[in-house]
Amino acid sequence: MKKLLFAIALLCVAVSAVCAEELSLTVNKEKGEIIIPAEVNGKYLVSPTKHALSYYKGGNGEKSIMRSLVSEIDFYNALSELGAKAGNNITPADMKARSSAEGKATEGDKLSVFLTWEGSDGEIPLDDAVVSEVRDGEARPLDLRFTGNLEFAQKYRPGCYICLDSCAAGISTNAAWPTGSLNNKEVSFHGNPDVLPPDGTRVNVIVRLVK
Amino acid sequence: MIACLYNAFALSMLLSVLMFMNTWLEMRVNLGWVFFALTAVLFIVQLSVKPLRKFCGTFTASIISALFSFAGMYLVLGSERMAVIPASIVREGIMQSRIPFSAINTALIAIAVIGLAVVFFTGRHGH
Repeated sequence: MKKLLFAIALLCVAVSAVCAEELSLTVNKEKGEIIIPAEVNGKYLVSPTKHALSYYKGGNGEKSIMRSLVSEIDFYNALSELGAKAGNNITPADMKARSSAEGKATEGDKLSVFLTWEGSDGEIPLDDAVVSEVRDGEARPLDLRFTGNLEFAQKYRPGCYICLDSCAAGISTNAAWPTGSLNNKEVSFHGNPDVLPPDGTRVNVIVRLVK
Repeated sequence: MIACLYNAFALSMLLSVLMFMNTWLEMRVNLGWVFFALTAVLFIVQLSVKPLRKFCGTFTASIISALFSFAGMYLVLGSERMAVIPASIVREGIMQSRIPFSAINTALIAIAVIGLAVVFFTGRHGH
């Protein structure tokens, strides 16, 4: 019995060690780009979410189309290292807006995001990997900004890298949809199963500072 | 007792899926933990309430629970999401995001089928 318990404990430690794999961001100052190792979460290829990328250990780690294997704080620091300027204009109070008309759009330096994975057809724009279903009107291209939110991220650790609306939690969020858009169900987002690889696939998320 | 646990498991999965359909709730709560908590609560409720225990402890009740839960989930999710959502709820609950959905689905089907067989044979043995 003791041997069996020991074997189970050993197995748990081994599984935890594998699952707790920590990688690092690649920062290229010359190109003005950051490469983030991540994995696809198949759940959000078939159901809605407001998160494109979150750190797997954060509160929203399992609530995102992709889970990053590196902390969102490192992402904030990497963007600062590239010289990007944060907007820091969205507060938790802004998140209570009941519609986009009442809401506020994020400010901050503009970012472009691409994905690659083994077998991908070059760099795939994040825009192609996310489906936005708009209640009235047409889909809007992602307008990702360096929102900032470092204080919130450090205090509450939601793990949010890229939110698909303007948000008080994400390091980078989407100016195309002001706060209140999701509360009012004006838009919903999910991963594009026709573009993204299957659940669990390792992807590189490439974030570039648009100059 | 096994029948009560089986019913609790099946109905908790249906309730968790129904909660999953509310995006606001799904974005804020670990529904995997809710699923396990609901299983425990429903199990205790069935054991605590005497008339409920008498009915829920039967093979018929387990069949009804299994069919009701499966049909409810299928109606709400459809076939494509049926293969992903219940497995994702369990995966979130056990905090093992790297286990493939197919492996969790196999385990869930095994629990559903073997569980029903165990309820049937333990019920017969009891009589």
